[in-house]
Amino acid sequence: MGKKIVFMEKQLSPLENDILELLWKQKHARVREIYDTLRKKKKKVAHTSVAVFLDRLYEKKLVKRDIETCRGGFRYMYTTATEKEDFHKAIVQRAVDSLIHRFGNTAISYFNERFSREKKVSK
Amino acid sequence: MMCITCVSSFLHDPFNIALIILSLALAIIGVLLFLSARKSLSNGKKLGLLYCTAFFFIFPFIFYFYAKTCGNVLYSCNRFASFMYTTLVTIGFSVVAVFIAIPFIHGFSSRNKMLPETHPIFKKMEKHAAQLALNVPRLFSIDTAEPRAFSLSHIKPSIYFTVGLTELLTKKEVEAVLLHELGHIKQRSSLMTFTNSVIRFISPIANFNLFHNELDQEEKNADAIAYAVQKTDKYIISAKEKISVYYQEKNR
Repeated sequence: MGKKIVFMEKQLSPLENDILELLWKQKHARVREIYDTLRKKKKKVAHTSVAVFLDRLYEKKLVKRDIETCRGGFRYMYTTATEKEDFHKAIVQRAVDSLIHRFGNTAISYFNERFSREKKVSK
Repeated sequence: MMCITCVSSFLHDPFNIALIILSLALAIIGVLLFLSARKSLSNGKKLGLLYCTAFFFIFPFIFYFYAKTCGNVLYSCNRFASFMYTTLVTIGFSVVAVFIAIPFIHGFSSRNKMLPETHPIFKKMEKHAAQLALNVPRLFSIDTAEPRAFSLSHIKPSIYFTVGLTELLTKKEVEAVLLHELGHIKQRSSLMTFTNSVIRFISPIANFNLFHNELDQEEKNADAIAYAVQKTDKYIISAKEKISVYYQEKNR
């Protein structure tokens, strides 16, 4: 039943999420810099894993990259492709749309109920 | 020789026209497919598509030549025999055409950038090539995060390496990998690898053991060149380990 919903939750792995959070904070970063920051935060992660996960994020079009020339050859400079708020909004939008598509009026009436409850609490 | 009357008499047969139109149409489809899907296709599929495209481009010319000369060159002139002979000869020509075209295709690829002669890696390779009594090969970087390197030793010897390779490895490890590729150029390995892949493509039976020992030996010889120049094998070993860990992680 809830295959699509589970998919939404599993869209990003914890490491992908950490990398994206870091990129949103730093605006742009190289693989080595992201690896060093994650290590400083005591995350057990390998340099190769960071490179693989950044490439996955690139394939998912969540990050962009430019090639930089350096003495050792070339390297990528990664930046996020979307703002954090836009990304979260897109996730919520897709989740809500999929719920409405799947459960129709039941989902809509639940949202109404839920939002009115939320209003009462905030008052 | 191709003359107007010969061509018009050849095209008088609807079978010939149908075969030529079909062949050229398939060749054009092959080119369009290659251009549109080359980024998403694996190297094996791209190579297969190149062979097919070359085959369908060359086929009409060989078929024409055979149809006009079969009485002189070969005994049989019936349709089945001419079709079979033409197919076999075209496979041969296509293999040679693709072998010659590969360096140019890599050279023109938008993902590949040639390293300028002022780049530190180029300078280093220039020195190593002189040590190995080789002309300095052209160096290309490929815009992909996967750590890979390969070389082509025919037409214009070239070494290709990815951005992912220089990002993942240390300078010494990159140097070891490039020396390994220089070793392949010295041994002219691309001819052996190409022949092996062609024979395996034509005959799946060849997958069992053909050239395996020779190819293994070439790999060892290429490693030996990296070892001889760097006076240690620790860089080539650690480079291979890192590349292997990357692919394990990627395929997990």
